[in-house]
Amino acid sequence: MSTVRNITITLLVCTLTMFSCVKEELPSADTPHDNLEALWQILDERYCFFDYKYQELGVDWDVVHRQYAARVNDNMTRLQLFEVCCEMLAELHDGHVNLGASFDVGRNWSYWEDFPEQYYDSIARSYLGHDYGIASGLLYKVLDDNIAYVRCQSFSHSIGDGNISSMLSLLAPCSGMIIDLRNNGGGELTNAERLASHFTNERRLVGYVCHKRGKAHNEFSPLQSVYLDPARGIRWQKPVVVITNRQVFSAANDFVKMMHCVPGVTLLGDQTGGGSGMPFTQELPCGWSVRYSAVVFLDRDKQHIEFGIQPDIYVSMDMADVNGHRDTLIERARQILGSQ
Amino acid sequence: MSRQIFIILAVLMALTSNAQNSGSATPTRRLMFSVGSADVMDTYLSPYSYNGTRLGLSVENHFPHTVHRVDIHGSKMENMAGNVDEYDVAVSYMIAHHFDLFHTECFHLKAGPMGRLYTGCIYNERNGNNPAQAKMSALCHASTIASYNLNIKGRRVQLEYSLSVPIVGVAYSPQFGQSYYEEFVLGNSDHNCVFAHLFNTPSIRHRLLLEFPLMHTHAFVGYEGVADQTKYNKLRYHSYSHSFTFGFRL
Repeated sequence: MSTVRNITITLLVCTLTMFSCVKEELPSADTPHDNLEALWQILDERYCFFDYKYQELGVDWDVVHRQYAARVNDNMTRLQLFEVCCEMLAELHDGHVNLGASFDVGRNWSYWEDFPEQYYDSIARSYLGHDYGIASGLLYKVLDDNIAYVRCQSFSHSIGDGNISSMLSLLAPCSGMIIDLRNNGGGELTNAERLASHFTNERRLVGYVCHKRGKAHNEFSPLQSVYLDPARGIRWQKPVVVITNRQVFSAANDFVKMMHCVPGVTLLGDQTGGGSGMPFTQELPCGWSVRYSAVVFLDRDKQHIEFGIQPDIYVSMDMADVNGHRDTLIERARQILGSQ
Repeated sequence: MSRQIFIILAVLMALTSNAQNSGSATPTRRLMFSVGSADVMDTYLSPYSYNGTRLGLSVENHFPHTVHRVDIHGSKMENMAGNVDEYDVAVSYMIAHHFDLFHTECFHLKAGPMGRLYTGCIYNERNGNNPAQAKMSALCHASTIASYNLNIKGRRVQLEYSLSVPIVGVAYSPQFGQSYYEEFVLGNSDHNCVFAHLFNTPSIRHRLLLEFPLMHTHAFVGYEGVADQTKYNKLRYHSYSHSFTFGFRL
């Protein structure tokens, strides 16, 4: 017992003499300088696409720091500081990188703002009419040519297996299905997975994932495989066309990635907007939130889909169709499904 | 790592068994409350500290050489800009076995090992995919208790100071940039069970209590200070609190 007692005393003394504080490491004063430094450093340590953005866009984060730190001084107003910070973040060309203040959200939405939308809401809605079904946020209708049209506007709201199964059961007599994903900006990844799982009969490799293990730009965990498992409820067995545009982003982009691995699925429309990094949130001394891509998702060929997924068939809105109140992309999808 | 977990559990079970053996003496049971300040930083959620109020409740069983203690605490805090709230709740169980070091008529010094099981959660109301941080650990501490008896106007009053520091154990931590989606939806673990030791868990808990007779029982008032700190998987965490504590014998 005296041994245990002596060991305890020795450990107590040793620990107390070695005690050190675990403190904040980032600049913490609420000044323009410290806020910009904290913002730059949070991204520097935690953003997951630096190597890829350097390769694709030539973004050198140290050069960006020199460029924007020179524009900050302690006489700036909050609005001026916000503008400089947002411009700095915009260099990353990432829709998941945002600066959130009470008066504005800093963003770079060039991934869709610089491109034709390929979507007219009033025209697309005319295909649904007034007698469409709603299953947990999925709007659906059987078109005249016995093609099922499913409008999926968002993955933000929970989509249950029961809802999907019920909808698929009602659409079972249809000869094919159009999933209109246009303008779907994402939401919960689990919702996207749940919907995709009703289109496969077997476990499929759909991609890879890795996360940062440290502050260095290239400090990542090994790639881990991501599989899509078949749903237990009703599964769709017929041809599918997924319509996409540049606003298909984040979880919706991931849905397209998964569906691209399923046989019998055709991607049609414009390239997706991308956004393959799962965003985390941190904050600045002034209280502004900082959102950034933290976890990397790759496709099944280990390729980045941060800048989007190309469709199998590029189709643009035809102005003659628009004038005739017809949606070129939906019509083309009906044509493809009708011929199969 | 499973071997380390087994060793820790074996130590805790041995301590519990020892405590049960010492249970022939009637234990002194205490019900304690605490209220104080909280200062919590977890870099998985935010690089900065959140400050607020901490409330605690504990039940303690004191045998001559063994102490059992169950702690529950909750804190509500806000960031330094005052625009985001964060919540910290936790439950812990401690069992300590103490050996006599020094004993006189009025002074008693004891020390020995202590096992502590801790589980809790910190929730940040603003964060999206990293909204919370789970805390779990099983740690062996070195602990000591010093007590000094006074006699004031014929009434027996006792001053008690206790201190403990973690030495070794296991703890849960996500990786630096790992999401809970990867861990719990995809089932991808990545060194999430961490070997904890006094260099990556430099923590200390101490308490000074004054015990005095009050009506038909004994009451306690005092100060409790907690500095829990960890550096796991390049994530940094601290939880500092200074609390006024009070209670009575059951």
